[in-house]
Amino acid sequence: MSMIVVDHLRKEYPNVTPLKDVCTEINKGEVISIIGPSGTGKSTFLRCLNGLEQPTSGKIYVNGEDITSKKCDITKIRQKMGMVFQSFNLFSNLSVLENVITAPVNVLKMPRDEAEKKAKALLLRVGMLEKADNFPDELSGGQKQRVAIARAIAMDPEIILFDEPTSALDPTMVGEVLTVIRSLAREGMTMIIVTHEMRFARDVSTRVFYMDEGVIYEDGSPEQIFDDPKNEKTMRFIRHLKTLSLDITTASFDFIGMSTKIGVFGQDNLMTPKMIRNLNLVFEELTSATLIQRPGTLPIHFEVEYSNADESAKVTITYEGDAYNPLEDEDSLSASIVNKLCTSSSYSHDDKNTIVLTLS
Amino acid sequence: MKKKFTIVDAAIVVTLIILVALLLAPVLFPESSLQEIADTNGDGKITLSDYDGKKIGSITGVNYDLIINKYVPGSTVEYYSNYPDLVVALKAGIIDAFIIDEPALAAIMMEDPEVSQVPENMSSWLMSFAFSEKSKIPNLYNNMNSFIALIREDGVLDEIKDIWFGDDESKKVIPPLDDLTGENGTVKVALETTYAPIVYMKNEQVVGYEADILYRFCDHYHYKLEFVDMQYDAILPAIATGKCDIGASGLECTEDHAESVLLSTPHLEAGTSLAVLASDLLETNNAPAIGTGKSFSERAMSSFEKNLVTESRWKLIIKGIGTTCLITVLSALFGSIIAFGMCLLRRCASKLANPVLDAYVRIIQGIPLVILLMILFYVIFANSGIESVWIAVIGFSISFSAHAAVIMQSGLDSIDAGQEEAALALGFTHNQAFFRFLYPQAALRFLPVYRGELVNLLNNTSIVGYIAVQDLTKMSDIIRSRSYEAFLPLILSTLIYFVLARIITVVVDIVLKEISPRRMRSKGGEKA
Repeated sequence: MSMIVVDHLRKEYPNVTPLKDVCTEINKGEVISIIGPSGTGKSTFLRCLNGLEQPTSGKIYVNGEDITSKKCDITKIRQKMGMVFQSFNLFSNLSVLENVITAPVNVLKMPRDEAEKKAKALLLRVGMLEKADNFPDELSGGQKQRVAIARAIAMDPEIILFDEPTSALDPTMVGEVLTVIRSLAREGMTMIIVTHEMRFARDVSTRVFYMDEGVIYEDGSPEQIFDDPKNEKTMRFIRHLKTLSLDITTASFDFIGMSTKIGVFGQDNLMTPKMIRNLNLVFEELTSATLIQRPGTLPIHFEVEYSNADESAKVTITYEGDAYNPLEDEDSLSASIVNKLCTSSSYSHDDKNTIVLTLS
Repeated sequence: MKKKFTIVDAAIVVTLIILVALLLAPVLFPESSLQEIADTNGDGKITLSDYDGKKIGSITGVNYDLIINKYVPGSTVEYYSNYPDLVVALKAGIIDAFIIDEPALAAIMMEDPEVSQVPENMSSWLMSFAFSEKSKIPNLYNNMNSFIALIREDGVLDEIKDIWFGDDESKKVIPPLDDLTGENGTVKVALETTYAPIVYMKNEQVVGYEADILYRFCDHYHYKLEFVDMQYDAILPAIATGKCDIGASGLECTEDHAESVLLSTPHLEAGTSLAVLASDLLETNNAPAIGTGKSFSERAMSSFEKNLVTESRWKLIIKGIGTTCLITVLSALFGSIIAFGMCLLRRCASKLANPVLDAYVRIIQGIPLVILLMILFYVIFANSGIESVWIAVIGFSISFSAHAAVIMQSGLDSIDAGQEEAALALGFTHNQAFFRFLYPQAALRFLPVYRGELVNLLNNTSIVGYIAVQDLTKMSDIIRSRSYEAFLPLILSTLIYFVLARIITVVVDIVLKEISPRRMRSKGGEKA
């Protein structure tokens, strides 16, 4: 029997309907990543599963019990269903250790000694035992989230819901939290993870939901969703996940600033240093070295679309002026550099000039 | 637990010193700037006409305006709520003279040699008791009229006058009120006890000429007698609303009063005098000034003696502190419970609760406290028979609840919604989440503001004299009425209020420390 059955779930707010019609079944041992654009009901769906949001219509059955029914004791369900929040939500008036033991002691009525022993083991596992007596406001974001995960596991849940567990974190701290979640996945913990970390989702999940327009748009294995998405929308989301647009309007534009933006964009998307360097080279050679030198090309639009899935970048450059393809200029050093870097390139001219390059 | 001497402490000390210095000034420099009274008409002595155009003090509640217009026209009249204040104002040079009935002035002059009387009589007026038309005791009014007729007839009234207007202190006693049998019910008498010799406090008991008549009256008709001490200008409203049965302490028998209450046959024709400084009169007679030559320490000792030791007046202060503390503590307790309940209601009740609670807070905060107390005292609980201390507790609880509710709610609102969600997600119920996580966290934030509100509450209780409660402030008024000194009673009550406020602050700080996360532990080196 499925652990969770979701039957035509709908959630309406006065102005917006984040969940239109969601149906699915979730089994024990599954690690499900929910991906999709912002504002498509991923978090709302997760919060409906443990009753933090009351659905407008539809049913949710957990181990056969209808949790949307008024007769259901939702606190009993929640005890078996851990949740980790984007904003950690550690109890600010309790120390790290007390945060972990409060629910086992006060809700499950576990003896304090036993709860403490267990909590210390869990804190050791997430690498936070050293901070057991600290208070939440003395921890970094990543540390807080690791404590929050320990707090959820301390209840021995059958399933843990992760609501964008790394979205509020500094990029340098994402890794430590993902490592902890990965280790849970290895142990066979049932988990549902709302995330924007595509590579992580691909690595860790047994099943991926792509949510869009208030429904589960596509549901499949990570390979299916990431390598061979069936729907156009999923494909666009997977491939064109991250884009960066730069506009050059004057010849004296801020070259250093724009190069830095490309670097930051690359780091944010976990690009390899080589990829970042190549993107910067392409940007420099095609703009300041060639197009800017030519009259009538301004404004120039430079766009990078990076796909985590196949680690490739698509660069699109559009500019004004007469038909002119700088890559065909055989005497140009810039042209030969760029041609070497990219795996494919194309040029077109109708109203404007457009160059499309692929780097991988 | 060592406490360091901080800037705040220094500021408190400096403020106290300045306060003491200000209050000491009139004692240290008793010959302060009095307006010179001169013999303007040149007849060789000070007469009433020399006070034309001066500032004359009068008590509120007795209509002396006609007499003032007749004898000292052109003067400005300033109104005071009791005679001790008039004496203090006279001595401080705020007024040049005050108008008063002869028996009362005689009593003041006996206590205070600095006060004297212009040796000219003015019109006299008739003193009666006021009766409530709403009184539940049948025939009370008629009985009093026949009683006054009776004692006037058999000479007992003159006897009473001799006792209370005479010099023999030992005769000035009234048997304990508990000796009255009271088969015919309890008579509640509204009076103001700073009016010697008519009604005043002596050895913690209400005594005086009128008190004696009332005692004999009740003894004669088998009533029980209860004195309710209140502000002078509150007596007639208390009678009109039926709060008390009889009003006393020198009520004038006029048509004005008769409109709202019943007035008994007059029992005394009181002459009217102008009280002035003895030095004003002596100066013109070239007599040596009195009261000089005493050192500061002697003055301080006699002041201490007069205000605290005589007639065990310190006991009044202790009683006053008790009442003030009782009202403060109970109001804080009930007010906080109501406020807490309001927060709970806001959390879980229907959508109707919020506007209702908002309206409650706005209304209560919009009413001046004194008026709220008077509404409770004269309107809502007028005939309830609830003791005025409890009405004060009710009033202050209501007022405090409105303020505390706002303070608590703002603390709760400042807690991130994620805290509750995290608790719910772990399987805590809504109530557990509130009591275990939300409220303790909110308390840490609102307690510092709440502490200030408690001190406010304490200080605000000083107005309960308006509804006949004898708190610390009222007790110091009573002592002033007997000692005719402002300095010691006022400075003493200031210090006591200050100490009480400090106690509140310290207690709240201890609570705050107790509930705050023990941060020291993580720095104490206890490693797991």
